[in-house]
Amino acid sequence: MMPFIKTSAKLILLGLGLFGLSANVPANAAEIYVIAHPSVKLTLSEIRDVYLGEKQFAGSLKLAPVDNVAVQGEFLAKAINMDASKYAALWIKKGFRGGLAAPPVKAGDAEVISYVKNTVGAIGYISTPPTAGVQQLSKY
Amino acid sequence: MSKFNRGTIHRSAFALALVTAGLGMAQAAELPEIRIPIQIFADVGAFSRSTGSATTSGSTSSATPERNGAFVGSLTLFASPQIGDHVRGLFELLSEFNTSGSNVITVERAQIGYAFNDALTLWGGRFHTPYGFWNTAYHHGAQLQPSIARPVQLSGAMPAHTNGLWAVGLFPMGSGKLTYDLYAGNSTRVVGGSIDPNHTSGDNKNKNFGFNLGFNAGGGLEGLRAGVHVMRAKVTACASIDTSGNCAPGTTTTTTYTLPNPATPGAQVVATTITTITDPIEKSKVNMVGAYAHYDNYNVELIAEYYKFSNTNLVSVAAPGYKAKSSSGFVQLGYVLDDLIPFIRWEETDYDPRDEYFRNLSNGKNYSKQIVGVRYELNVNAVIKAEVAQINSRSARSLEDSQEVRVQYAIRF
Repeated sequence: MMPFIKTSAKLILLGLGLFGLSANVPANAAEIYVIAHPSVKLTLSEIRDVYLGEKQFAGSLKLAPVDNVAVQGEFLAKAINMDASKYAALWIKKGFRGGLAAPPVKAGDAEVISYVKNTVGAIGYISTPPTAGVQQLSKY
Repeated sequence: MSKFNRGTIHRSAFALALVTAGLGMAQAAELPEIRIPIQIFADVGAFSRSTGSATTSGSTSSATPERNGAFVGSLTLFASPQIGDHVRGLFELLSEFNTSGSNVITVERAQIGYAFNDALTLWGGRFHTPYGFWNTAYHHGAQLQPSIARPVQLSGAMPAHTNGLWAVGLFPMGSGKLTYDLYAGNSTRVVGGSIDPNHTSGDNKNKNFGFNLGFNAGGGLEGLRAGVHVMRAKVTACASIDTSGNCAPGTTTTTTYTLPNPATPGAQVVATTITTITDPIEKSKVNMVGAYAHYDNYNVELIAEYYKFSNTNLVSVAAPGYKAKSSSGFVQLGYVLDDLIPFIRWEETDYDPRDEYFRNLSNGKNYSKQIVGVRYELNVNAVIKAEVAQINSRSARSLEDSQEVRVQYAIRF
């Protein structure tokens, strides 16, 4: 196994050496408001975990995130530090390994607000300041 | 709706319609929302394999074509229903052609789970055994897989499926997540050289069990996952199964030889009986420990897995009681140039030739393999791959020296 171990070590070191190159994620000036049903309490890092599929529950509350196709690119760039392709690929892999389902996609702010307002555990993001009936968790 | 979410079917509206139609069996608010994400994976391609055979003079002849031409890969139908907040399922049907040309449809996965919280989801059924990274991350998802060929050592040399229980969860730890997989299931057996995870029930009291403890790094190392894995099993090996589904005990042959009686030459004979058993049942205790790492960011893809086996021949004709040391591993490195990802991979096994577990497996052979390939991602759902590979034989119970060229077009929808 010695040749294998030596070769493996070289490849791993090469991979870590290449790691220094930073990700190129597009930025956008539009403001993004993350909103949630009043039942939801989340920190900034937890919001990110929710959209990465690593947090599905807040205590005993099942979280119900939704994507907003109108501003998804801006949200992913600012809140998740990821582009849409990488995000889609991540959820495909999450689904294949663990049976997780990607957040449903809403057409725009109005649909997201309506869903969040009426769904316990819901979380979403919009491009305008939130209205009554939902709470703002953060702004990017 | 984004491309990757189009397979989702909402049934809540249908359920609500049933209620409002007057069935009155339940209040609408009590009905769980049901989402059924469906994915289909398919791939086609071409393949050529040449074997370099040794001549009597010891030199190696030029490679001769052995298998080549177009292939239809696997067609995988995958559904992961989400039934309310906690109940979920995962079902995968696989259709593929085997080497004899017959089409085979198998239930690749059939598992039903309950998510208590982020720290515990409990699955029951047939699932991909959660060792390493590759086996659960890619398996038959050709479009997901970062190469065309799976590492040989993960193709029929380890119990890739388990029928039983699987607990999985994660805990926040610093900027990352500590993850675990803990599983137990029916004892694996080897029938006719192939692994059989005992689909319907175990044919003995032994159980497979194992765990995988991993860490998903956060912060500056986000995209890195590393962990250790352990698996224990008692594996029965036989040539075939009997009508009751158990390992057939082999064929007992009794041969009687008649010999001249030296005491009375030419007048009488002495009968001598020799009993032999062809394809006897053998048993091995398999202990595996190892480690793995996976790293994926916008520039680099790295997968490395290592398995160390300390196996014991419990029932063996050739080497009873023998404690064998075997190992296997691979490392793959890819560099991301936008949609083009060139990659290299090194695979190697070092199975003890007296290790009955590997000796009873058709694919439990020694080899080293080097692959150079490239992947071009047309979009998040389609990929074209090409790779060339060199397989080098090892000293004992080895694959042949050979060369492979593969191209593949894989999609997901």
